[in-house]
Amino acid sequence: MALRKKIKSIPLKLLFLLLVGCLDPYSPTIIQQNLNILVVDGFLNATNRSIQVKLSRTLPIYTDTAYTAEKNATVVLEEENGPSQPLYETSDGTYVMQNLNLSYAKKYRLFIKTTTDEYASEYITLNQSPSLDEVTWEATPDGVKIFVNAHDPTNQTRYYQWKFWETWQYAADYFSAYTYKNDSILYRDTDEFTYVCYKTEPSNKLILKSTTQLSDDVVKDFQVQLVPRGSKKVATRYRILVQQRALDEDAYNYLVQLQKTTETVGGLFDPLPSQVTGNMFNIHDASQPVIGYFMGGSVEEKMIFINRNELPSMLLIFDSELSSCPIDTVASTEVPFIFPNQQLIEGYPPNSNIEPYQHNFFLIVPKHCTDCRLKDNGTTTRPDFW
Amino acid sequence: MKLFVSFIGVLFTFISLSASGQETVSVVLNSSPFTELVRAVEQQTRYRFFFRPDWTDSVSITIVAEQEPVDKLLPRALEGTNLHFSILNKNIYIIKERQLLTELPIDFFNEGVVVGNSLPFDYSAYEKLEAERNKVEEKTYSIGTKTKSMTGSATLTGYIKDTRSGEALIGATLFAESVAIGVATDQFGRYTINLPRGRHQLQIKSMGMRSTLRQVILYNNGTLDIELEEEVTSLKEVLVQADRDKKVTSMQMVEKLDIKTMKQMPLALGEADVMKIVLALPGVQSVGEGTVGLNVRGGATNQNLILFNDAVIYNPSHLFGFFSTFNPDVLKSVELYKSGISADYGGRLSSVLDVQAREGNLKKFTGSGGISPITGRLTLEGPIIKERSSFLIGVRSTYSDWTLGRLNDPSLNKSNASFYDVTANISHKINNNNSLLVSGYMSNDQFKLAGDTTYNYSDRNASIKWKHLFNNKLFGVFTGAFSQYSYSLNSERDSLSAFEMDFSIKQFNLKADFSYTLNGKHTLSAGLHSTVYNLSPGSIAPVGGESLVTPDVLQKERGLESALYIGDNFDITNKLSLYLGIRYSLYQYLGGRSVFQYSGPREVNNIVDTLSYRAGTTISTYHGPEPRLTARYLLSNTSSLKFSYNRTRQYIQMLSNTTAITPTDIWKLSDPYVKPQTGDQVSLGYYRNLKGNTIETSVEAYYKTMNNSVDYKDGAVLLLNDHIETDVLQAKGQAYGIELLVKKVSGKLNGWISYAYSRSLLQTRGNIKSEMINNGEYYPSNFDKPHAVNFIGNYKFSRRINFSLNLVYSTGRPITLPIAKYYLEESNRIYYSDRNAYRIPDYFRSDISVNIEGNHKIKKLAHSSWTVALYNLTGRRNAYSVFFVSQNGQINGYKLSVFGQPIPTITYNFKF
Repeated sequence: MALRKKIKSIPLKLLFLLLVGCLDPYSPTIIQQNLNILVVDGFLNATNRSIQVKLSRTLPIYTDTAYTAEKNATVVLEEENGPSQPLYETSDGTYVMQNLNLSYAKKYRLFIKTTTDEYASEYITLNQSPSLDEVTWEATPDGVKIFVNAHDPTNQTRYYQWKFWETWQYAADYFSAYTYKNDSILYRDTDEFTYVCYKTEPSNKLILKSTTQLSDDVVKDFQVQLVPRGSKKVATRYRILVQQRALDEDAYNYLVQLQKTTETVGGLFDPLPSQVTGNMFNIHDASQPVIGYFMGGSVEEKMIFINRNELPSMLLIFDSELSSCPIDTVASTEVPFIFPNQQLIEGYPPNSNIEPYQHNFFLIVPKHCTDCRLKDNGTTTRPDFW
Repeated sequence: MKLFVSFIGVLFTFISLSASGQETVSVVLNSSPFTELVRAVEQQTRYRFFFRPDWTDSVSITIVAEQEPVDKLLPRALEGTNLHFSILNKNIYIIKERQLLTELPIDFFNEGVVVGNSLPFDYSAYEKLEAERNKVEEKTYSIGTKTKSMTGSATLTGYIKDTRSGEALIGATLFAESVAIGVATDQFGRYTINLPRGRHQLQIKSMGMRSTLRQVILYNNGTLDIELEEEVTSLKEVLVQADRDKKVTSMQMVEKLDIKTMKQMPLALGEADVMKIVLALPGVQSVGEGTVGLNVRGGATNQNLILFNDAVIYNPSHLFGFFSTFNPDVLKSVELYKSGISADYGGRLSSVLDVQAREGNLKKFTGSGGISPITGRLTLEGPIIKERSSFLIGVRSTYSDWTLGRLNDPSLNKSNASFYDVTANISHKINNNNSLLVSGYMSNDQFKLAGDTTYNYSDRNASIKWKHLFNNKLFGVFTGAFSQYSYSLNSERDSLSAFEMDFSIKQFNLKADFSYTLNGKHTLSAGLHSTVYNLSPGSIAPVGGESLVTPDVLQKERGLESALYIGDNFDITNKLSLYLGIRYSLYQYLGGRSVFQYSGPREVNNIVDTLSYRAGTTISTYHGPEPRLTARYLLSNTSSLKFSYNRTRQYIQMLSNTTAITPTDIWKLSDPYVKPQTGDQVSLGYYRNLKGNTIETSVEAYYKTMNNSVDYKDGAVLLLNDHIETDVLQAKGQAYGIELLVKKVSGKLNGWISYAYSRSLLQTRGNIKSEMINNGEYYPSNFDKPHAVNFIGNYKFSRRINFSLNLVYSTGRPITLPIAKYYLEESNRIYYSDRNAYRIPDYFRSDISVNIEGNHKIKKLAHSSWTVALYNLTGRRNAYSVFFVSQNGQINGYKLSVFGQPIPTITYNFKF
């Protein structure tokens, strides 16, 4: 037996190396120059006649600091041979406008004036998205897969992009029914409960599909997301809102390039990374880089819910907790000194007929064990659609 | 005993011997090296020693002497060794195994004209065992019809062959000492030498063979075939003798390797690998570990003409490049031309790698093979008609599929990877003036990673070569060859988009080459070549009934490349030789197909028209001269200067936007938009041999310019692109460098160390932004690695145990690095630098291997050997590539290394 194992292990190891190689973290000591290039993230939404443009600056690659927003810029939506519609800054670096006058027959561009330079995009036309026929899901041993189905009977669209927003419900480790307020131990009001939270996250991957190789403009069961097995997103209830956009060939190529150079894992056969050129340019000096692709069109949206009881049991085993929740016991008189860092989870001796402050002792745990907002950065406010 | 012929050359200048002197020596030696004895004698007397260090370096001397005459001292000192001595005019000659005789055999000088000096022979009983061979060596051959007048010169031709296998020996040398004229055999083992009429002693030497002598009296033009025996025991010493001064005196600037040298190299995966050994030569680089593509002197991987038995090989790699497609057991020789490419080669810009397979054994049936953890191989050969026809067939295959299926990892056991190759040839000697060689070759690879897409690629070649001797001075070689490279991709991930994609290239070559020996000073060569290309640049078809994939077949491409050449090897003086050649090539891009017409920049939306051409019509024509020149000047017997200039043109290019050669790279013929590549190279070399030709040194410098090298726009699409001209850019390239090589070719310790400084730069200047790379400035190519050092050393512990060490260092390959990050589309993104502005970490690797031979009994069923090798001894994780990935919104840099830890292999080889 031992001999057999020995014989097998040498070629196996070799083949593993042959096929997989080794990956090591790599951080070269390249010059940490701050290029401070303007980044434009803009979309003109023809469905609700609004525009949102986020302006920020690039950072050196290994810095930890947050991206700096480009404040106090002048941002204008310009119609070719038509009127200009200015945007206003809602929060740092975010410029918006609503109730725009838009037409699929017209061309639009973005004009930006920062404190130092002037930029513009090329003129774009608005792309009309065909209907998003269906969002479906399937429970597989790998996790829950989310698919989209769409088609364009006119065979015009050909290039698709999807974005999604996931929302899920989750709970804290312990339920705390008591609070300490006004020098006294009281039952919590329902709006003070911190046991159940909701968390919403946007997709952080580019989801793109071209049907140019197909005879019909059909997207069938295209996977947009995998909620991996063990993920707590589906532990109670899960919602996904999928948004579909139509792209033109240029915009699609830009996003594919963006995806290729920043999302693919470099294997033996992957293409070389390269600079990605968008449709923004510096008006006065074309050699000065500016990043981003201004695009626009209609959007189609669909939302589905997945409840815990719809899932097979194999997907209901969840990753173990990392947070530590040591339970301790304190006398009621000690509560003012430990609250709110420690939270009260149970009165002792148990007796539901008495007021909270009449308990002699309380079982306590650290606050992060009872407050779901501290666990996954969610909110206790129940979303409207829930 | 085996060595006794080889030292004859050292001694042939003797005419007479005189009595020895009476000077005395005092010396005390205790297990001292032989050189200590030499020093003592030479210091105290006027005697001088003549000896071969490799005969004496393992001898230790123990002696105590007080005022002892030299002729008394030496017998005592050499007692117990196999050395003998002879004294002549205060010169002491140390000889192995037998003593010199002081008299000539009676009647040694027979009638005829004696030119120069001849050699005394020993007729001891010991040598009589070798009588058979001696007979041919002593016999005086009369060549040609006898004439009275022995003035003027005549031509002697013939073949030099292996006695045992009957195989022709290429590059064997024949040297007439008296007139200092030497020639080498051509690729068919044939030699032609022009000598003054009269008596000559010819020395015949060849790599790996026992040297021999022939006594001839040349009356008139005639032939003499010579057979050599294989040198069994002292392989390396003989290797040296054949190569001895070749590096200095030959006209070529070529690197030549025989399979024996290759087999001594440390092995990555248990097999001698032609491509990996070529990579250890100065001026040859690859983009990374585990790839087969060669970058020769700053040229791209597609600029090398790789020939296997005269047929072109398009993808010389197996299993992602971890193996080369050449089965080591069937190979005879490998030649790499980096410069000084003669006019008979054409079609590629940078280099010629000429790989030749052996011919089968003409005398008896033999076989060889090997087994390693990944591959098995078997070669069989033997006569069909004894002495006239033979066959050889070599098969190699992997059983990695079987191993992968047994893995527990689900993504790996859904994978498979397998390959095989078959080489077969038949040679037939019709008569003395005609011979035929038919060879076939096939290699196939299939792999599937993680159960997704199946890749399949294959090279198939066939060639037929007819050699005809018109007369003693003129011979011709007529070759017909067919090469095909094809690949397919098969994806069945989801039923709606299941597809199969195919690509293939076919090539037919016809060649007629002639060589004419005009006189002792001129050898002319001329020929006519024609190549037809037939490409299917890609097709896609749906697989299964559900698939919605639109079938698409790109239009076929056809081309015809014709070339005419003439060359002259001209020995101007004894010291100065010149090769002058010119090749004129003409290329036609043929219909029927249609060609897009553009107005303004070549972009899809600028297509204004489509022109259709009927089959057989010429769409575009390119032609031009390719001058070739090599000059050699002998500075002394051991040093020379060589200069070469060559221009090359290339009408087919490989398109690849990944760093390594991959199975899905496509080839593209030159067309109205993609212009042929041209290259010019000048190179200058200084060669010097030291220590009796046992150490070879050389310095070579070169400067090279390239036009129309292929480059790509950022993010180019190459597969299934029917308007590929919109994504391809043509760049100007320049490369320059200097290469140093020191090679010790004999002794227990042998090997080489090389250093190369080389640069390779590209410049792309287009009219619009997307056609400009790095604003039109020169930038380093993907394989620009300025510094490279290679060391290869073999140490022979005994006749059975050989140890090898291999060290490789080079500057890291250029890379495009991320220089800033930004946030877009809900994720961190990376902003990249100018193309190839930075470099990956330097590369260093060390390998060792030990080769253990079985016993050397001649009579046994099979000879076997074991090779134990450790690849990447230090386990350094050399970066194959570096990349940056946005994972969960976080940017991480990774370094991928292919052989990131020591890899042991053990291989069993056998021969029967």
